[in-house]
Amino acid sequence: MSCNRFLPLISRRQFLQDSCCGIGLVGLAALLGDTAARAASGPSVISTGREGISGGPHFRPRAKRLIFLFMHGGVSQVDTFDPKPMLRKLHGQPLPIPKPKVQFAQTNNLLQSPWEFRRYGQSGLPVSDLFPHVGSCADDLCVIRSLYLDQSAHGGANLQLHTGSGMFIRPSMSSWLVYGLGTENRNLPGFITICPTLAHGGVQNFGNAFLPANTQGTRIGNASVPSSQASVRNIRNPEVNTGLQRRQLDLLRRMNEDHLGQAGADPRLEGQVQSFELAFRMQTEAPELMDLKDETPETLRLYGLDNPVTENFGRQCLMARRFAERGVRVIQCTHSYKWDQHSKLKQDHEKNAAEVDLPIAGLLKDLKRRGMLDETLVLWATEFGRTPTAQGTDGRDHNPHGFSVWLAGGGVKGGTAYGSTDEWGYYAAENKVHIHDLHATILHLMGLDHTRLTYRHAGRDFRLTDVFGHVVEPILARRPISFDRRTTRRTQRAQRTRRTERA
Amino acid sequence: MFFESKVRPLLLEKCATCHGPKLQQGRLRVDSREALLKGGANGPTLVPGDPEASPLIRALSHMDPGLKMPPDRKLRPDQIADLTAWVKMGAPWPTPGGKGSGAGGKGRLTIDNSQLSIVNSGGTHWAFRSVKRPGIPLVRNRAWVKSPIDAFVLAGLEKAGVKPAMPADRRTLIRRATFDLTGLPPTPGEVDAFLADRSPNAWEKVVDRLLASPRYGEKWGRYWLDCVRYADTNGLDENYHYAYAWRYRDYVIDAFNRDLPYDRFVQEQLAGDLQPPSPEPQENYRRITATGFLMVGPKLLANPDKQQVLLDIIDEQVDVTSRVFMGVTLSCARCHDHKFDPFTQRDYTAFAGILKSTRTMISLKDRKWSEVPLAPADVVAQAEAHQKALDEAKKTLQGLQKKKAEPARQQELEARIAALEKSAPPPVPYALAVIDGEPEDLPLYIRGDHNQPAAPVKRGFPAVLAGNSPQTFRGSGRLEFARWLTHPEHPLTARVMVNRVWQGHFGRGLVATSDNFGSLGEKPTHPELLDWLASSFVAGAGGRGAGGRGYGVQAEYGSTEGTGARGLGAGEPVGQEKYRAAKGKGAGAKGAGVPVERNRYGLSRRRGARVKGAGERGALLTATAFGSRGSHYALRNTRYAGGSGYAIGSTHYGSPGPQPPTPGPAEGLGWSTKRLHKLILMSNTYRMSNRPDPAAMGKDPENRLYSRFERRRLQGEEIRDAILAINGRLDLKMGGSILDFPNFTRVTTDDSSDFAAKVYETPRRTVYLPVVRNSLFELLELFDFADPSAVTTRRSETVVPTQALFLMNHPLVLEWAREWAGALEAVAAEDRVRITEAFRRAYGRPPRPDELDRGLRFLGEYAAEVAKSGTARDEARRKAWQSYCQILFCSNEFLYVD
Repeated sequence: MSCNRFLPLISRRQFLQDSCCGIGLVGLAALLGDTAARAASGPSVISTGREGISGGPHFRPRAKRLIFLFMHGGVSQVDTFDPKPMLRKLHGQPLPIPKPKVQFAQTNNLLQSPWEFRRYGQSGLPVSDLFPHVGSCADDLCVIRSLYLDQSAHGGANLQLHTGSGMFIRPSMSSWLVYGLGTENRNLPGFITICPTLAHGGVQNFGNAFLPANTQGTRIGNASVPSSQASVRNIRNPEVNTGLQRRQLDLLRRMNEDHLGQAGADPRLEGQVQSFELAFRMQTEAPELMDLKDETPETLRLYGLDNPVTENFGRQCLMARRFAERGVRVIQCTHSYKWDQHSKLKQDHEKNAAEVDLPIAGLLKDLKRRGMLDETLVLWATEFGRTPTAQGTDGRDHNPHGFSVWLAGGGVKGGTAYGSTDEWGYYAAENKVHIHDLHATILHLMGLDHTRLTYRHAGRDFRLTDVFGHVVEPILARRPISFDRRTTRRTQRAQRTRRTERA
Repeated sequence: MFFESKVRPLLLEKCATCHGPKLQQGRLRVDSREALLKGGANGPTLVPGDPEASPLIRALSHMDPGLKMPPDRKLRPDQIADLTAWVKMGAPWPTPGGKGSGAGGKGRLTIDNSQLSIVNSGGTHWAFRSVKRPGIPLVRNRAWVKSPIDAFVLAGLEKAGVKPAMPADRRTLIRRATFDLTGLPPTPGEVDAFLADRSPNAWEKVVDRLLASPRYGEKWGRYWLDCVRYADTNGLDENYHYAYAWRYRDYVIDAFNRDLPYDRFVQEQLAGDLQPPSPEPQENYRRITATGFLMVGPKLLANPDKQQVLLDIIDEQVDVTSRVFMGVTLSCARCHDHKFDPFTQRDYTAFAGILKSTRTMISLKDRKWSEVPLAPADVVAQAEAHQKALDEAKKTLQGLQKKKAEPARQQELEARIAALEKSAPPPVPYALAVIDGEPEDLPLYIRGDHNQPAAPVKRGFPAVLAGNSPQTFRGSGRLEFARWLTHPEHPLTARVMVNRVWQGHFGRGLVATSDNFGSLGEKPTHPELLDWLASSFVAGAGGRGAGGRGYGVQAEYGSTEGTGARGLGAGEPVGQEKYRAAKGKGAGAKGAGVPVERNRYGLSRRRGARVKGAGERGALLTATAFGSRGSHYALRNTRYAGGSGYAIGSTHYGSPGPQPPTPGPAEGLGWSTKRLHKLILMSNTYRMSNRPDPAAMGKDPENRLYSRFERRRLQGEEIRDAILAINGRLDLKMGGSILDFPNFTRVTTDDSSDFAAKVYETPRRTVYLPVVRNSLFELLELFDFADPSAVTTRRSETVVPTQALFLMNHPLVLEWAREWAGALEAVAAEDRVRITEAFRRAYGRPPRPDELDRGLRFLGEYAAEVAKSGTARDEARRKAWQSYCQILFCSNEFLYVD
C-alpha cells in the first residue's frame, strides 16, 4: 500500500473538536475532492485532510480552473484554425507525400477548404468563416496547430485526448486535476461534465479509474438529453418533499449517532453521516445553479439562449460559467458526436459550427468582463482532425497526425498560433505537440508538475503523462495570476492540519 | 537491486542498441553475462572482479585511445562508477534471463516434471522463492489458539505486546459470516437457530451451511469476476455486445459452488479446451466455456491498425494472466525489461507467443471474436445449413420485393420462410471461448513497437521462475503453461490465491497489494502464515484420483455432522455470554503441557488415521491446544480423500508430483477453496470482535497485526441484494442472460443512454445483471464496483455524496422501500410488531425500547405531516412506513458489517 499516513483512530469527542463547524474534517475531506483522500488500495484508508496531494499545487498556478469545450467527432483543422493556401492550389491533385501506413479509411486527392479564412483582432490570427464569433475573440486564443496523437478511431482518440491513453483504462485528465487540487466548493463536486457522450469510451473519458472516487466526473445529463433537461442524477426526490425528507434524515442521524455510540469511533461511519447531510444540501444548491432565471436577458442572448440553434450548447456554456463561479475545478461541455464528416463536409461542419460558435464566444466574453478569464483556462478540443484529402467527393477522413486545438485565458499567450502542420495540413511538422505535451502544459498552467503528480496503483506510480510529456513553454504568458486570498487561506488550513497531526 | 536499477538499464540503453539482439557490432552482445564473458571480436569483455582488466570498463572510461565507448558520448562519471562497482562485485547477473545466467547459481533447485520446471532461485525476491512450510510458532496464551492461524497471528500480537480483541457475539458473527460467504444477510430464523444452538459445533454448522449454499458461488464467483475484469461488452470504444459472456460468468459461479479444486480451476480457464477430453460432452463444454477468461477483456476493435489491435489484445491477456494467477505485472515488460522485477522483455515475448498462438479473434477486420459451439458437430452443421437456407430465401425475397417482380415466386418464398422458421432446430448454444491457433513464436518488438520486429523468441515461461531449459509444446503452449502454473512447487499460484481469500475475509491481504507480489508490492505482514496457508492449500492434491473429484463435493460438504466435530466446541462463544476460552476442551487443552513444537504441530498421520477413536483423541491432542481443529480437518480429509484420513500439518508437505500413481496419503486442503474458507472461519482470529482491546489501538492502529476484526461497508451488490432479500423480492433463479441485445451490436451509443433502465429493475441477484462497460448500473458505479475493464483484486471503499443521493432519491430505492413496507404490513397490524420484524430482518436483532419508541414517533409524526395535505390516513401511514423502511436501508448499521 502506498499511503502510510493513516489517522490513528481517535475518540469521537476529540474527532469533533478537531473538525470545523461540527463537520468531521476527515469524514468530509474524504467525501469531497478537496483533499486527496487517498483511498489508495482499498478500505479503511482515510486521508489526513491535507489539501491536494502535496499540500495544494506544486507551484503558483496560472489558472484556477478549467473549462473544457469538447467537440466530439473530429473537427477539420484545415477548415477552421489552420489555413492552407496550398490546398487551393493543388485541389484535386494527389497528396505529394506518402499517406500514413495505417489509415482509418482510404482517401483520394486533396480537397480545398470550402471556407475563406479571415484575420481577426490586433494579432491578425486567421480563423475560417465557420467561426466568426470565436474569431472576434482571436486575441485571447492560443491555437496549437501541431497537436497529434496515436489513435485514429473515435474511441481510442477520445480516450487518449481525455486520459492520455487510448489503450488502457486511465483516469481522466480532469480527475487528475481534482486529485491534485481539490475543489473549492464543499457543496459541489470537483469535476462536472455536462451532457457527456456515452459512446466512444463513454464514462471512461471522465472516469477516475484507480484514483479516489471523489475525483470522477459528476454527470449532468448526457449527450442524448437536451441541456435544458439535464440534471445531476438523483438530485430530486420524485415522491418526498424536502420537509418530509428532513424528517427522514433527522431520524437517520439519530439512529446513526446511536450506532456510533455502540460501535465506537470510526471516521468512516462519521463520513457516512456527513455524506447524507451534504447530499441534502446539494439538492438545494445544484438546481439553483442550473436555474438561469437570475441571468439578464442580455447575458442569455450573449450565449445564444434566445435562438434554438445555439440554445443547447449555449446553455451548457452558461452553466459552465456558473459552476466556475462557485468553485468547481473542472467543467466539461460536450458538443455531441456531430463533427464526423466523412461526407457532406460543407453542409454539416457549417451546421455544427453554427451551433457552437456564438456560445463559445459568449462564454469567453462573459468570463472576460467578469474578470474570470485570467484565472480560468478554456480548452477547446476535438479528438482528432480530418484529412486534407477527400473521402468520397465531399468528405474528410480521421486524421490524428496533425490537428488544431486552442487554449484561452488563464496563463496562455493570447492571439498566437503555435506549431504548424506541413503545407497540406496532414502531419504536424514544426513544434509538434503530442497529447502528452498538451496534458503536461495544462497541468503546469494549473500549478501541477506532471512528473510529480503520481498515484501508486498496482505496484507502480502512475502519471497522467505516463513517462512522456513536455510543457510547451512558448505558449505560456509572462505574468502568472496573483496568489489570491483563498489559496492563502487554504494553505493556512493545511498547515494547521499538519500541526494537529504532529500534536 | 543494484543490478536491476543501475546496471541493466545502462547496458541496455547505452550499449545494447549496437551490441544487442538486433545488431552485434564487433560481434559483441552485452545483454547477458555469458555474452560479455565470451566477448566479441576483441576477446572477452568482462573480467569479473577486476574492472581494470575488463575491456568493458576500459572502453567506457576511455582509458585506451583505441577503443572509446559509446563512440558518440562518454557516459556520466556516476554511470561509469556504477558499472565499475558492478564488475568489482564479480558482475553478478541476478536474473536467469533467457540468455544469461546467475553469477553463482547457488541454491537453485530445478524440479523437472515432464518438462515443466520451477526454479527456486535462492537469492531473489521473497515471492519468487518456493514456499517453505513453517513450523507453528510458540505462543503464551495457548487458550486463545483454536487454529494454527491463531498461533501465527497471536505470535505477532504477543511480540508487539498487544492483546487480541474479545470474541464477537453470535449475532455479529452470523451476520459477518453470512455476508462474507454469501453476500446476503442472515434471516431472522437463521439468527435464532444459531443463538439457540447449544451444541459445541454450532458455529461450524453455520459455516458449513453457508459454504454449501449456492449463494456462496454467487458471492465468491463475483469476486473472481472482479479479478478477471468480466463484462458483457467489449468496452473501450464502440462497446459491442459479447452475447455469450454470461456462460463464462455462470461457469465461475458453478466452479465455486462445486468447489472445483483451484488448480483445476486455473487450468480450465487457461486451457480447458486442451484438456484430455472427457467422455461426458457436458464436461467438455464446461471446460471450453472456462476459457472465456481469456476472451472477456476490453478490446479496442475500431482501431484500423489491426496488428496493433491484435498485440494489444494479447497484452491485455498477458496482464490479466500474470496479475490474477501470479500477482506479477509481466505486461510491464512489453516494451523493455521490467524495471523492478526480474522479468525481461524476452519473458514477455515468450509468453505472449503462447497467446499469439491462441485465437481470440476470428476476424479483426470484421470485428468477429471467437465463439465455440457447445454441441456435436452434426447438430451445428444442421443448424448452420438451416440458417443458411433461411438467409438465402430472405435475401432472394428482398431482392424481388425491391424490384416488385414475380409475385408468385414472392409468395412461394414467403411460405418457405415461414416453414423454415417453424421447423427451426433449437438454437445452438455458444460459448465465448478461445481456440488453439497455429503455433507461432512472436518476434521481440523493439520498444514494443510492432513496426520494429527483432528475432522471434521461443515460446515459454518467465525464466526467473521456470529456468532456462527450453520447453516443448504440443500446441500453443497454453496447456503446458496452465500445468506449470499449478505445479505444487510454483511459488506464486497458491500464495496469491490464499492471500485473496484471506483478504476477502479480513479486508486486507497478508500481502496488502493482492495484485502485486513483485518488489514494488507490499511485503507480507505474516510471511510464515502466508506460507503455511499456501502449503496447506496445495497439500493433499495427491489424494485426487486421475479422473478428479469435484462433482458432488457440495453434497458431501453439506453433511457436516460427524464424529470429528463431536465434543470439540471448546471456546465457542455461546450466545452473547461470556467467552469461555478453552473451557471444556477436555484433554486436548488441559493436557497441553507440552509447548507446541516446531514440526510437531497438529496431528501426525498416525493420529489422523485414528481420528474416529474418540477415546484416543484426547491423548493424541496433547501436543496442541487446538487439536480439535486438526481432528476436524482430519475428518474432512477423510471425506475428500477417499477414506485415507490424514490431517494437514504434517511436515512432510511437498511430496512432488501432481498425480501420484496411487491415491496415496492425502494431506492439506487439496486446492479446495471451500476448505480454505472454513479453515479461516473456524479460527479465533476471524471470530474476534471489531472492538479493539483499549491498549491495542495505540500499538496497532492500522490493524496490521489483526488485533481486531475490521469493519467493512457492504459492497454495491450486497446493498442491493440485501435490500431485495429483506423486502422479500429477491429472485434466486441462477444463471442466464437478461441483456436482450443481439450479438456483435453496440450496446451503448449516444442514442441509447437508457437502454438498460428496465433491465435493472429485475429482482435477480446483482451478479446476474449485465455488466456493460462504459455504462454500469448506477448503483454499482456509485458503490465502488470493480472497473470491468481492469483487473481488480481489491475494491476500494469510498464515501461520496452521490451515493447518499442515490439512496435518498432513486426511484428503485423508493420502490424497494415501498415493497418492504407492504411486506411488513402483511406481517402484523401493529406498528410495534412490524418495527421489531423490520429490525430483525435488517440488523439481525430486535429493537431496543428507545428505538421502538423513536420509530413509533417518527411514523406518527410523518403520517400526520403527510395527512395535512389531504392524503387519506391509510395512505399517509403507508407513506410513513415506506420512508421509515428507506431510512433503515440508509443506516450505518445496515450498510456496515461488524
